[in-house]
Amino acid sequence: MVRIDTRGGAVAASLEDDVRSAVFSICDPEYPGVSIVDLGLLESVEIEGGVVEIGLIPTFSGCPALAMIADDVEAAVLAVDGVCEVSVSWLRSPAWSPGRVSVRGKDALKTEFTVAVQIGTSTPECPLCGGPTVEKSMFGPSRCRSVHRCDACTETIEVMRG
Amino acid sequence: MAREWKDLAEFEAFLDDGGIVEVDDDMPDEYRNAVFTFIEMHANSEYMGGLTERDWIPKTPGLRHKMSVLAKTQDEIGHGHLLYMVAADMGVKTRTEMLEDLMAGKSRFHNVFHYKAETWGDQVAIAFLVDAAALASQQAVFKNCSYGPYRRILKRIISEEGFHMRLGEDRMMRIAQGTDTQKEIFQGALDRWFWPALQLFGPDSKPNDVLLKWHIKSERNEVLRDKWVQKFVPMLQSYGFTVPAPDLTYDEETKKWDVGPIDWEPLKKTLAQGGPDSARRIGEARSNWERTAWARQALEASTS
Repeated sequence: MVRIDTRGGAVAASLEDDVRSAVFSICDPEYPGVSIVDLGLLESVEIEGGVVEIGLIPTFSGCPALAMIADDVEAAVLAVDGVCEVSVSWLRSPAWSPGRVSVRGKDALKTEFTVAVQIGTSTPECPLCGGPTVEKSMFGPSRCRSVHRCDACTETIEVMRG
Repeated sequence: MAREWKDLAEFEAFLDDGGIVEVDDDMPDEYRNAVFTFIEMHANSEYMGGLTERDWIPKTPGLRHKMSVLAKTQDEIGHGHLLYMVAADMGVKTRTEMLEDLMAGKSRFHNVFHYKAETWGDQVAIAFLVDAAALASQQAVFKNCSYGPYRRILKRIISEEGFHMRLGEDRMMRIAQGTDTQKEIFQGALDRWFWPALQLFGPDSKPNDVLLKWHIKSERNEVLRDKWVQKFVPMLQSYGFTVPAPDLTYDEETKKWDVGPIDWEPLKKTLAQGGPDSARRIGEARSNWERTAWARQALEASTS
């Protein structure tokens, strides 16, 4: 489809919308069905002509999924009509924090994966019963997650943390 | 909240109806023990697998692979941690008892962790073939698992193992497109790991397998094993490698590969802790456990 730039900004905005939804379609490799945008990884989208620059931030810099996520984002954005060049970079700032996870992201983590999100030093709620949880280990299967236990229903849960 | 069933028949009808058992339910002892033993073996396997992965952190070539090995190590140990918590909640053994039994060679872990990984090629073969076999059997458990706490943990473990599969494919693609020496290294690893990976599924399921009856497993061992064969035999061949099965045949009519008779003796040996590398691995795990006793003591002192 050829875009005729008669309305200036409106066309640019629509291309940006398409690029953003392409990025949104990429899920975290460890949470299928949860978009990296809902996890707060997308920081910036810059478009000039058909050249797109995507700035992502990692939950932690040693994350082994970085190359995979960047490859997936690049392929998805490159497939957008009107895009001819894409560069994806992992930014050093700002630092990711659990506050960046969207309401929809928190909801999907809770209902699909029984994972809670810890904001600051608050006590995360059990995704199953809503009870208070106690940290059992600072480290779970990943640097960005700790292991908690629910005081009320004893469920073992993982908590995304900063 | 705790539910009770008047006898095993009523409990089995509940399971057949798709019922999910929770930790505080008054489940029959037979079920509790069978599920506990299954989760304990899974936990032990994650833990022993994590220790194997850890051995390779300093020897892994290149930063990209090194990051993936580091992360896999943390994944496996983290999975073990979650599974030991879920298993301990069942009240059959405490976490310490499970670990002590593992170190004493009294409990089981997957056959593949009773072999030695000789080269980086072995690590590639493990990530590619063994992880795929483990993932397939875990998916089959998750699909219809009647024990709620295990089912919920499995969902997360499976998502992460799926990610390991992609890493395994990445490693495999790189070595398959590498130099002749790299290809030889991988063929050697394939010769060593093809059969242990295939045997991870176990011998044909018995007709009265309680794990199938009680909806822990959803698929018979031989069905899962066959799916793995149909996927990996042609894939390995397409990359130019030789499948180390002398009796390998292809049926033009059914379009299926058959690896021929399977020798189950090596699997039996590993289950009795008599595999080629069992003693060293258990010994390493034990000395690791002893070396880190101070950390557990310090943690206990700080929380009591």
